[in-house]
Amino acid sequence: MVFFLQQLVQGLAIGSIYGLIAIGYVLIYNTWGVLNFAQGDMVMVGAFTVLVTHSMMGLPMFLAIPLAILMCVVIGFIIELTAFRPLLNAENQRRLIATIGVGIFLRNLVQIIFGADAFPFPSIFGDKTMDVAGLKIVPQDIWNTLVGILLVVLLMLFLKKTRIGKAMRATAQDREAARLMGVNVRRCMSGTFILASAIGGFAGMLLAPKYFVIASLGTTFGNKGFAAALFGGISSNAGSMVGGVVLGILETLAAVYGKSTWQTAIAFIILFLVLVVKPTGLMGKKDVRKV
Amino acid sequence: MKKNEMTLAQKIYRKSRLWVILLLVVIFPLIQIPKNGKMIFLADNYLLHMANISMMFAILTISLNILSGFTGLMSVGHIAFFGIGAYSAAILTTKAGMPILVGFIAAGVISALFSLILGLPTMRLRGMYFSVATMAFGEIIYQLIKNLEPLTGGTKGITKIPSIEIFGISFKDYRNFYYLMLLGLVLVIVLTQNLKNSRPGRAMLAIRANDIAAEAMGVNVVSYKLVAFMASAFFAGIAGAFYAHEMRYISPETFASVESASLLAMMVVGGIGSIPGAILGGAALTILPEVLRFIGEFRLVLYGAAVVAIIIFAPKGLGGLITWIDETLSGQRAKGSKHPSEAEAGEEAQE
Repeated sequence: MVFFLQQLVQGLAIGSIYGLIAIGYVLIYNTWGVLNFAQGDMVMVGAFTVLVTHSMMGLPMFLAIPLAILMCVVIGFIIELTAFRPLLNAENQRRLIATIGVGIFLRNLVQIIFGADAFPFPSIFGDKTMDVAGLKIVPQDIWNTLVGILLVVLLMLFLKKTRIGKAMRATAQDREAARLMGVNVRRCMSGTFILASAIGGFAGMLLAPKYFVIASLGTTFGNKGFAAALFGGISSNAGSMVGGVVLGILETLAAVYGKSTWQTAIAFIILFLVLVVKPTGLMGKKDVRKV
Repeated sequence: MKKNEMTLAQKIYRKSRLWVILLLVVIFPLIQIPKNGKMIFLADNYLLHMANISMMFAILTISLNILSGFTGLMSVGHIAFFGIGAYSAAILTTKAGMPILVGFIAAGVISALFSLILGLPTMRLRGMYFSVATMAFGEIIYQLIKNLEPLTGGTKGITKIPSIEIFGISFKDYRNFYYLMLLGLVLVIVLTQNLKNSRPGRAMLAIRANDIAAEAMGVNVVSYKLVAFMASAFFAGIAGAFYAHEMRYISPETFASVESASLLAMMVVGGIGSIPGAILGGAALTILPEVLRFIGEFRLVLYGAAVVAIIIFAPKGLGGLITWIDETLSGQRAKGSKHPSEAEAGEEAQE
């Protein structure tokens, strides 16, 4: 039982990061109508920005992280300006490929600048194991879970309660109607994209201490986050967190009780089953097609 | 100028365009140039190998076009069918000792069977959901290839795949293989072109334009999608068999899901739904990283940027460019008319 709980804690920790990555996909998909395959690489960029500000520039954590997030915001804005905005009215297929192109660009640029080696990164919240009621718990895991869930709750409050958040939701719902209501659609779309980039980048910062900082970080975790987004329902912000946590737990359990090589495959097998049984995901709304 | 009046040059161009291209590709490996007083082939083994791989990717891109270009279903895991084909051919010829021809046919058939298994539950999914299902499928196949060691050799891959031999002629030589590959490519082009112009082909194009309208007109949407999917997987499997016998060594990394993305890029850069575009896109994106080798590590960065740039600045891809040049040269384009891509892009925006 203790062993099982131990795995549950681990799954929860990784799952909440999956959820954070997933929410980036969801935000961009709902506003821009395109799956951003570069979101995973944004996660990787986030890990590298904090590597630069903390390990290389030597700033303390409480300064390094905000600065790194600021860098993610700028990078996100550049991506939006160059690869998303010009293609706003293009066919879906072309926009999808453009995001893939952005991903290839980012991944290889980072690899040139920093090399192909993995960088170790010090733990933000401490990595000494604590003994809590027989469970061996790493503070990093607990903090990742808490920060991840807190961030999602804050984001949802922001979208529900604030003026800007409401404008963003209106833009996602119906661009034309939002414009008629006096919403600055252009700015809202940029804002959502930047927000998603910053959240993705932050997820990367949480990953950095545990999984090393390496250019291929984005591919692995991007796919996981993406599976979580679909699992929870691509139209639901809360769903992506639920999807992420469920995926994280299932994955950890599958690796422990099955074979470790299953860990990667399990995400996709689950994803596949979800698509076949309930394509809109756990918490997604049913989309009605109009002719 | 009236529409039917053509100048002599335009007439000659229209009659000869296909044959000139065919002649050029046929004599390409045979051209000899003097160097250091000796006659050597212009196309060395490296160049021929690149040409072979380009043609193989052209077949693969055409196969993706049958699904995505004709019916509008985007497959983000298409490389899996390529992998299934390559491994089927490799396993049958090395471990089961089957003749190569059997391997080739099996590569296509097994691929098509997998597409049927994947297609039956997923054909009712639309748009993005189907794409994601194919992506999941691609990842699952990749993991299977990597982990089913007794069958696939795991990460070590399969070595010593026999080279092709037909009627005593060995195709081990890249120059001979070039012709075999060319024959394969031409066959695939002809078959695809015929499919496009047939009744099922028109039904598929109708599905791409609007599946609800197509269904209302009596097109059985699900079964035609399934037919397109299976045809697509069949050709991808054949391309895989070609790959296995050309490289004579296969390992899982070639079939990682990242490769599906470059395949999609080939299709979009070539122009979705365009067969000449698929060939050009396949060749261009195979050769581009090689040409860019001189700038070293920067090539993949440039590759990513180039993909984005082509998508932004050439909406119809390279295929659109070819159509434009072709129509200009053959005088089919009325003067003063808009650039075809602009005209069509305008229509899209109205939808």
